[in-house]
Amino acid sequence: MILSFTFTKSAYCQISLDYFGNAYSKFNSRFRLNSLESNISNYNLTNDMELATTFSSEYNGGLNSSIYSISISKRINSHYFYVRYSPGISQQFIIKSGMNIQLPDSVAQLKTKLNYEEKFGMGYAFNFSQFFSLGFSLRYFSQEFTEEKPVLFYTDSVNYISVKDEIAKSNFWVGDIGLTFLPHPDFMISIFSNNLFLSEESKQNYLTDIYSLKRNKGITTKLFISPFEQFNISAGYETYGSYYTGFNFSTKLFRGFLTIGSLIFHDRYQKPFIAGFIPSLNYSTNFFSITLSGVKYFSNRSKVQSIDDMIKYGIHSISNNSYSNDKVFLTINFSLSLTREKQIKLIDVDIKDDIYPTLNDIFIHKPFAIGKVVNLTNKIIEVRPSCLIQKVNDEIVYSPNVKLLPYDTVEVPYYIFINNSLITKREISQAEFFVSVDDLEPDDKIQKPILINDKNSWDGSVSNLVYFVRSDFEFSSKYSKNILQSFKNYLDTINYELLIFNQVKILFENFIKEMNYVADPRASVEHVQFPNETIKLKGGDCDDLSVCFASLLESIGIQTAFVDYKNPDGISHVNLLINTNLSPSRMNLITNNDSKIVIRKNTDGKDEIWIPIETTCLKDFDTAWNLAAEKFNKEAIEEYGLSNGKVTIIDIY
Amino acid sequence: MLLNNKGGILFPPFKILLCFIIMLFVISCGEPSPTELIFDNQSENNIQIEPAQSDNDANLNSSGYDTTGVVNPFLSKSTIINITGVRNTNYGMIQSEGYYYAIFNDKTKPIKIKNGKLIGYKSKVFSSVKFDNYEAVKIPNVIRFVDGMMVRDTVLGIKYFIKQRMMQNGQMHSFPFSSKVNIKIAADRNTFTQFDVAIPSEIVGKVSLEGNRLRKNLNLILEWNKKFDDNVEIIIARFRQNSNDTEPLLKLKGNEIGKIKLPYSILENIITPQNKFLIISFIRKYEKQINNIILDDTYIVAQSIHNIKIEIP
Repeated sequence: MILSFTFTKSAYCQISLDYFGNAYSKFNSRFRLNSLESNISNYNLTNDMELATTFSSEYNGGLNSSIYSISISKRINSHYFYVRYSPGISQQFIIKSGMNIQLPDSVAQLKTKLNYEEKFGMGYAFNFSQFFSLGFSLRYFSQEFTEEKPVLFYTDSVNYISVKDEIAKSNFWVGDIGLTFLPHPDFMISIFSNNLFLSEESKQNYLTDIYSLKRNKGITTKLFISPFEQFNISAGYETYGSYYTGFNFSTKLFRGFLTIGSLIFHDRYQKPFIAGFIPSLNYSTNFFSITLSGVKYFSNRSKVQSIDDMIKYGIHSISNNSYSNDKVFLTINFSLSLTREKQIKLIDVDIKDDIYPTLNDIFIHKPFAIGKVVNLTNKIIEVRPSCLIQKVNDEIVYSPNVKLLPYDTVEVPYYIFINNSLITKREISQAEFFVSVDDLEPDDKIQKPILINDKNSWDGSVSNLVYFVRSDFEFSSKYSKNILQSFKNYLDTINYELLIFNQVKILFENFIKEMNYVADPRASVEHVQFPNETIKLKGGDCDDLSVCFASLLESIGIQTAFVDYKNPDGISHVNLLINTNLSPSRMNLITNNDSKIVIRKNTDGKDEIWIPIETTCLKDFDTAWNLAAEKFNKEAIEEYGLSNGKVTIIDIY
Repeated sequence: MLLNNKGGILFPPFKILLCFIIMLFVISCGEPSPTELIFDNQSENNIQIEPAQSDNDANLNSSGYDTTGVVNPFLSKSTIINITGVRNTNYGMIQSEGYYYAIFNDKTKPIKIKNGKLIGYKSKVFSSVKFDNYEAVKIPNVIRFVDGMMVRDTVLGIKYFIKQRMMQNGQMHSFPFSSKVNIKIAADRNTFTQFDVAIPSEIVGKVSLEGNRLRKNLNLILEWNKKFDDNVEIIIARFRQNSNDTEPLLKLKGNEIGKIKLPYSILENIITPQNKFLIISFIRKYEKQINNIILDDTYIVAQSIHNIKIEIP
């Protein structure tokens, strides 16, 4: 619903009125339904290219139809260009001078012909943002004044009077600037100059002094308000005293929108006080827009008027002055877009996380970027976000669809699936973010730089070490099984309840045989080795060793968990908890010291014994167990680390 | 080929619309009529203007602008009676005179020159002509005409004439503007006719220039003391080269407001550095006709004339 109320003032006459009246609404805004007269700043939502043709029909003793104007406009990103040829913006006057001349064979009444034309115009606008647009317009005017003058010729025998034409031409350019500000989609204000820059092409003489278009400088202010969805109010004010006001109403009709508008105006130099009104009827679809409008003046324009007022006040607008006749306009705008018309606009994208190839699963479930999109249409649409990151994806990755209400702005999540997880070099890449409404080309896109880490990079979150554990199960399983195979005879003889405990012990003793503690090679970014790298390099820091040993156990079905000891100084530590599958009542099978175990419930709700293992203790299993248990009891239990969050247990499954 | 925004060929309704537009292009070839504007009736631009030239067929170029400065066109009338008060303004000097005369043409005796053109008639002789009991004297009726390339004078008979010269100081007789003059014409001792002729009020004209010659907007502003129910003519004349004779060029009809703005263009090709003077004659006159046993086919005129000599810069 759109109501349009327009308010304009001018010292002269309504120079900011154009033939569209109040046809512009939200629902036809993709077409330019205003002209250079009322839209000096050239603010427009034309998406690509548009052709508009206006025909006018005027009653002036007889009905005359003509092509009023032909315009073409083109948008290139934030730049908007507009060119108009306007053969119909013209007015001719014949002034009967009152001088009757006796010619040799007739009586001639001398006349002066005035011809005013606005030949063509052009406009440009630059959209600095969706809130602010700045533009200018240039218009070229042509004037020709032909005055019939009596000339006496004489001979000795006879005198006679002839008539000659005195012709004065005056062509000039008018340049103006304007700005449009949209603090809210339902509120728009435009301010533009009138006759700011003038450039004369011709010399002045007495005819041009008298009859030239008045070009007083002024300012026009226009407001556009949409108090309701289908109802607009617009108002305009021109300095020195002219103004107008109008409204329009839009409703859906077939596949387009019908807009009915009206506008009344007061003109300082036209009578009566409300000089006339401009009704308009517009029907717009995605492809074309048809506008039927007209100007009805309330004073009698058919009677012969005196030249004296014209000489005294002059005329300030070719298309709207005291002598303009009632007119009807038919305007047809065509969309000449050879590219897709945008239904949605991607305003911005906020990248939340850098890309860590090994943490692929995280990015499937958690958006790595959030985009802000606006629905440019008047209907509910379903937007599909998608993205492509060079060197990470081979093809576009689609995220879930999001519904948008008409003209609504929402945030859409971008997910990524990392095809190439074996990236060995950390570098800046380009991420392309798309939004599309259907399966055709994206409606909009934004490209942003993004940091792609290598496969060993880790974001510092212990919970994400899980992905390093899982990444190498095949190797780990093979490694663990080989070791256990060599202890098959021993393991076959032990109590089955202690099988897991003994497997852990055997694996740990063998694992640490060749291991050394080696600090992280890089200080700036957390670096975690894959299990096979740790085995191959025979060492690592707490992250590497915990990941590797957890992987060895998990790969053969032994449940493990990370214990994350957060340190306020920033240096954290990680070791492991390992599920022995023993019930608490069977604790004495492995120890009589209950501080060395941790009781945790399994998925069935039954208690099970978990033992802590310090993987950086490379002496023996019991020492590693004791050290880990001591640390756990002190920091997690006695210092309430589990309660206050300084110690976290993260299950690996 | 135009494509729709799906990248495909235009769908049929779009083609229909396009055809409709082309049709409108074809029929939209009318040219709006110009808006007509007029000057108010009370405008100084309301002028009726015609070239002043002799209205007889004798090729007289003097056109009756006689040596008294009185505009007196040749008239093919049997009786011509003229009572004229003349005011001449020349560089601020004002001189007033009055002229009364009567001519009685014998239209059975036309005078023609070699090429057969009529230049006048032989005059008839009456016993006496009196204007307000002042008897007019008989003087030769001299006319000037062009015979081939020569300007000649000739006498067509007699004219009954009184000249009433009035200096600004110590005028002997004032010209009876806004009054009446009694005319008594005696054909012989026993036969006469007598009647009154109304004299118009004195016309006082004013000539000024407005505008700039270089900007081509120089105008002659002609003003006079407008009276109700006025009948004013303005004659614009110039001096013949190397002569004090004047030559009427234009005749304007006075308008209702007593002011005329005459565009300079009409005079610009007759003003030369050697001849920059114009004579503007404002004429207010009453005309009368009488038909009786003695007089018929009469032209009786009483007029006030103000001649102003100006120099065009």
